[in-house]
Amino acid sequence: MKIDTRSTCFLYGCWDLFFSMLYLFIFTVLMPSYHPTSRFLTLFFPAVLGAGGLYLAVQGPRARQVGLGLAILFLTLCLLMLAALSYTIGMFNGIYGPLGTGISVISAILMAMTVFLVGIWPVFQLRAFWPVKRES
Amino acid sequence: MSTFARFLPRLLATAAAICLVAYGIGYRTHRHSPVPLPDEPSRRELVRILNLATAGERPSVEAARFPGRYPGDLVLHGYAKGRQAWRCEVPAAPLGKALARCIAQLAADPPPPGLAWRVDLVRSVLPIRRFFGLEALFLLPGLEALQVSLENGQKIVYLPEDMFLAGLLDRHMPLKFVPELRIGVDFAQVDRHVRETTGYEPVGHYRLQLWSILLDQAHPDGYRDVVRVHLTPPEITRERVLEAANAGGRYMVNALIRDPLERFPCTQRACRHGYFTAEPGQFLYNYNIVTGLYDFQNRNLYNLVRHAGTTYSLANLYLITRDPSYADAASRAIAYLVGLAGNSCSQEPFRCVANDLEPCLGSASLTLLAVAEYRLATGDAQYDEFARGLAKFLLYMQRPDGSFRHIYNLKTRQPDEKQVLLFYSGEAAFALAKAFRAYGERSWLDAAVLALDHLTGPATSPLPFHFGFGEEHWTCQAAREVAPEVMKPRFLEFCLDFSHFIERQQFTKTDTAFPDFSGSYGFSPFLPPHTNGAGSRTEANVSILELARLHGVSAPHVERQIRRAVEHIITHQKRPGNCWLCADMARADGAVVNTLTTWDVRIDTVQHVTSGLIRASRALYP
Repeated sequence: MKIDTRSTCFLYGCWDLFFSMLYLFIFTVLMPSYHPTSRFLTLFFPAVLGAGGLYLAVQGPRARQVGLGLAILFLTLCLLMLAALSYTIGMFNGIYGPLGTGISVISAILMAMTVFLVGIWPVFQLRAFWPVKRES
Repeated sequence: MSTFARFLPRLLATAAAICLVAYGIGYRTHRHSPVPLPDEPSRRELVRILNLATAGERPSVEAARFPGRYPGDLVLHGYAKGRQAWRCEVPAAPLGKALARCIAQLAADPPPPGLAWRVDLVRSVLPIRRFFGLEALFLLPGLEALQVSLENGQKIVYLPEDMFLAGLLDRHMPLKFVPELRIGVDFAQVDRHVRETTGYEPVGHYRLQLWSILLDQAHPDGYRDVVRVHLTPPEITRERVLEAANAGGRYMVNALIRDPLERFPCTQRACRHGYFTAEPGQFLYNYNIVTGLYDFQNRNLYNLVRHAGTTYSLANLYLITRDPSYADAASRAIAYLVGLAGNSCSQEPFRCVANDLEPCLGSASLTLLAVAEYRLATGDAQYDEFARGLAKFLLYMQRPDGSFRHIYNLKTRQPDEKQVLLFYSGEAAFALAKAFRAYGERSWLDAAVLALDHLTGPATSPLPFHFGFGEEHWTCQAAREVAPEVMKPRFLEFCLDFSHFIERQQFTKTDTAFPDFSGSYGFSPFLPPHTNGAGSRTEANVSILELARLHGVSAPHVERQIRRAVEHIITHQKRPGNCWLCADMARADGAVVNTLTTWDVRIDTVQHVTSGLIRASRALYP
């Protein structure tokens, strides 16, 4: 099987593999979860990304659709995480009133980290695999 | 424009909208919407009726005057010797009916005289739902009440006082491997408590926003507002600051053990039949003012550094107030250290203080500081040789670059070159400077300046100290003490920067929802601040202010900090009339709790806040 290393699928497949490894490193080495549900979720999604990335890299059939699906899945996850963080901040703001500079800065850093880690690469991948109408 | 280019802004707008909506839902569902209080005249009337009724009279209640319907109870509760002696708890819907029922209960079941009367009115009720363990932080500790509903349909209300008395605040352990870190409510503990007291299974938890007051007939309004089981002090004046400092001083004097046979109540395993005795000359180290119990202590467990610090504070109090009880207590506490020193370093060319084989720089430094301050205050020369021996130890432990070794090993007869402990270098610099002031030895001043050169120079070179400071409160006291003989601009610059840095950690009245945090130092409203910091940083800030004045520099930010911290300390100091949960007011008088949610009093907390107060009284309230 010949792999076109200059193709978009290969390039984004490699990026997906990289982020999959990064997430797995975070959730197995730096911050492993000891709760069954969160352990499953924190390993399941990186594993899906890794498998998808490999599929993209070897340019299997309908690879572009797989790449698009992965981008949409992780953008949705990013939005859900941001929504959960916003809800938590709103909740504590409701209970405590002003939270002080320290907590506000930590909240902002958490949101920015979420966007950097889970929200940026899917946007580029989405653009790369965005369906384009071909003129006949 | 491509379809993706049109899609992207919509995606960002959707993300922003989702976050805003999620924030709004979180905020709205957790924010109290309290029922308004009765208007001012009605409140005065309510309080007037309660004051009359609790004084044993039979006032008439016009229930229609209080038509407001509240979502929870009106609770009238009375306290004597830290225990609840009387309670009326009636649904306040309407309030007038609840008031009439409590007045009727007072007539039917007359309370014992002399109670401190508290009134709570529930203004809002919100459920507490599990949320990944964060629910431990959902109850505002000491401000809100906790309601637990039971399987039989009944409900139990834990008022802030109930939670203090049952020890239910700050018990949640978020990290199992750090058992010392406890914040928030441990709902498993609450549920156990409910099961044990009622026999029923808890099925739901609610947090209740309260209007909390203490009935006070002497006050023009007839009541005083209560925040977290304490009162807001009236205006801070020089007299009030001095009175508070003296109360702290008396607490320390009373904490000095004089009789080796006197028994102190405690509950730990080491206590025999619930009591312990200790050596005369020691201070009672840790006291819980709600339970009235002390922590067990003996010579091996005893913290010598804090003993010496407390002794210094007493000598300092005597220097300023001339009350002989402080000098007497300081002398006895120094005698205890001299006795200990007789067993330590007996083979060495210097003196040291230790209760093990590793005398540390900290205990020797603060002992020297205490002896020097005592000498300055009293002129009593009986400990001079001891002081000179300790100064020799400090000089021996100092390296040529001004830094210090912190531990000396009596077995190897060598200093430990590696271990570095918090505070010790600053303490040593301050002690040498104070010893110079007391005995006039120029070499001790030179050693103190060398230490300060290091602390304000090379010691700040690690990267974190390019952006922040360590605990430098002793360093800045040393910088003040070497002046006016040594007035290096670098010392002033360092200390003013340190003061700026810590001001950013000081709570103001509007930083959080907790106005009673104002003046203390902390990181977030989730972690109730330690009062100790308000004391030690005030000591440092007073020194910084004095140093700045010597340099002719104005330091308004330092003055601001001191005033806030003084108000914080006085607010939280336990005095007769403001501590209805104190089990034994005679023992608790003058105490300042370690944190606002667990009422333990460690001797060094009282020491730092008292030194801060007495020194602030001279610097800012002349």
